[in-house]
Amino acid sequence: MAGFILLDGCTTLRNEVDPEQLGLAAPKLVVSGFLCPQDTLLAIKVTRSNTVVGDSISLLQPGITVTNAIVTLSEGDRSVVLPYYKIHPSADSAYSIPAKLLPIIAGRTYKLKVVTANGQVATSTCTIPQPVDPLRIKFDSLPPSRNQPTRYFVLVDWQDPVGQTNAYQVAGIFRYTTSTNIREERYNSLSFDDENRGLFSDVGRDGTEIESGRAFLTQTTTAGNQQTTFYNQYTSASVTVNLLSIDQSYYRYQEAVIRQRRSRGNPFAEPVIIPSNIDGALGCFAGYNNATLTCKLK
Amino acid sequence: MKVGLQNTYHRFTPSAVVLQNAGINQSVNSVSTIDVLESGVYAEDTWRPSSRLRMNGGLRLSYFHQTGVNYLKPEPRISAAFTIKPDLSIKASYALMNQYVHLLSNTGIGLPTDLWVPSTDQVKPQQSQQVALGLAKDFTNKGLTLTVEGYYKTMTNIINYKEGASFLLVNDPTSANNVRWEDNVTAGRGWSYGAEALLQKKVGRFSGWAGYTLSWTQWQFAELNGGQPYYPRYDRRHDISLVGIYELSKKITLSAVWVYGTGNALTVPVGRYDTYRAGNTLVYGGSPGIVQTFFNNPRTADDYGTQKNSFRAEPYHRFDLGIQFHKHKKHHERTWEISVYNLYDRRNPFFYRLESVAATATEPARTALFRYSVFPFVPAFSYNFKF
Repeated sequence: MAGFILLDGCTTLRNEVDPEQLGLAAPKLVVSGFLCPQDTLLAIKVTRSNTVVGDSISLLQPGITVTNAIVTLSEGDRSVVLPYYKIHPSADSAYSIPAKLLPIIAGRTYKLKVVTANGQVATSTCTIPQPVDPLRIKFDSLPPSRNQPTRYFVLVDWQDPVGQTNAYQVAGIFRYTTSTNIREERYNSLSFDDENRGLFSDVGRDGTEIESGRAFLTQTTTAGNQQTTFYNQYTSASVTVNLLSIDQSYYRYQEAVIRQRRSRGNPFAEPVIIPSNIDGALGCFAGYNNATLTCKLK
Repeated sequence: MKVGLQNTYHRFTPSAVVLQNAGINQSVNSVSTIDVLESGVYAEDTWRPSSRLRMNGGLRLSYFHQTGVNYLKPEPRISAAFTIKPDLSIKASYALMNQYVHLLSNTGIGLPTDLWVPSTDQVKPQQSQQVALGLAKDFTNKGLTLTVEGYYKTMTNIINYKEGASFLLVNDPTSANNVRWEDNVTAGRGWSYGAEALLQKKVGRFSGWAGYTLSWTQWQFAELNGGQPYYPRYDRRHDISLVGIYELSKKITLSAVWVYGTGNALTVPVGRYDTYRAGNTLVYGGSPGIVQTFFNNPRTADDYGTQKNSFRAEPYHRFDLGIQFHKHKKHHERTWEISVYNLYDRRNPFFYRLESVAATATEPARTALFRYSVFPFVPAFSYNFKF
């Protein structure tokens, strides 16, 4: 009898829990927008999150885009409403206007207000940081190994301003032409191999010179002859680095996104909560300022 | 006056083995051990300034030694009890304590992994200070004693995993050996307060107690939850225990236990959403034709709510029942016991997991939250003897 009861118990030790207990009332509003003085367009994306428990069809869908919200950007007594339309042929739609209608200027604070058709309101503010110029681009290589030919990379250095709280995102492109196709310039985005893929904070190194991780210079097509030197592979080659001076809320948001994705799939990892600087929504509304440096390699 | 000396020797072997879709033929490397000596010397004394007031003071010197690390910390404590009436007294106490071995708990919904880890040069000993004020009342004619006590406790140098950290990396079976666990933790502070009520009956055929604790515990870490306070995993708002023993005869007793505790505070994903990067609207290098497109390539993120540990597991409760048959033998007393653990077969949560549920004829495939339990209704039979 006891054995029967035990066996019966073991078969039902896994039980479904009412999703209401998770607080799954409704999908949440998600707002993303990044303002920069160098941009030609101001764009805000408004979506809704998917609840984690539900049918597989809705879970497979990307964030549900909200198309009928009223999105307002303002600075001082200037205010603009961003209509929803397709910005670029290959891009997803967003709320957008030409940047000249509301100039983005370093040091100024911008307000965002999103009101959805069903009355949900999300608000946030951001201040545009001052730009920080890249000091230099270092070009270097790793010697060939058994499995790899010589690998070429760049590093970026910049001077962090003293006494300020700064954060940075390093980005850029590698542009080149090859002898096989001298007229067509190709480019690849730079991917930096430091811990946070080009995302830096000056905590613990205020006022010092900061150096990025390595960004390896790779071609979109496979190299014809791996034995040739860098200078023989390309007819022209240059690297353009964008040093984005970013505000703290963006740093905290993006750093958490990277950390969460790194531990995804590990059931023992401590969950990473992604902060939001938007009242009434998930996401991030932040300012950044771009400074560019180009290094012609050939 | 009482004096004492205590020595505890710990050997920690921090290691983990990951087996993933593999035959169990992996060799387990020997891991280095951490040897720790924990000592304490104490002295305490009780004195009575008046017939109604009794005071007790003590000092313990605690010492912790690990290779290259030594801590020596004093731990004073004092308590006082004042008899208002023969059956009513009030008591107050203060104590400072150090704990050199830390409990490290995860807060996700997965399998609970509680680790005990020693203090090191990086991880300072946990320290707590507690004040308590209580009242004790005897109901002599009914054989009952009631104590009610309130307390407030502060804790410093408590540790928790950093967000995203893990004791081991699933894809790297050797990670537990390569990663210093200290690098995965962060230190903070905490506080706890609450009240306890205990009604005891020690005489008569029916004995037992009823206890209730109402408490709040909060932790605060600069690196966790945006620096805001949160409830740790084992914050327990309500804790109830009812214990009863009834003497049917000199040889047979019946016992019953009911316990209840608020569920653990956990961090659970409630949704998923798209995140975007800044810089995707830049015109690189000023050249036309090289424009990163807008809001493409989002990265999906999990939404754990706005606060760490905002999900409450279901409460834990169960009822145990037993009958004991006692017999005094020549040199010992033996007891046969027949008991049932978790009589009403409560499925208490051990851990939770999000899982896919296959489609049925009427419903599409879906993701659902499942509770896993251990120890359902368990009958038991035991034999004890005392000599």
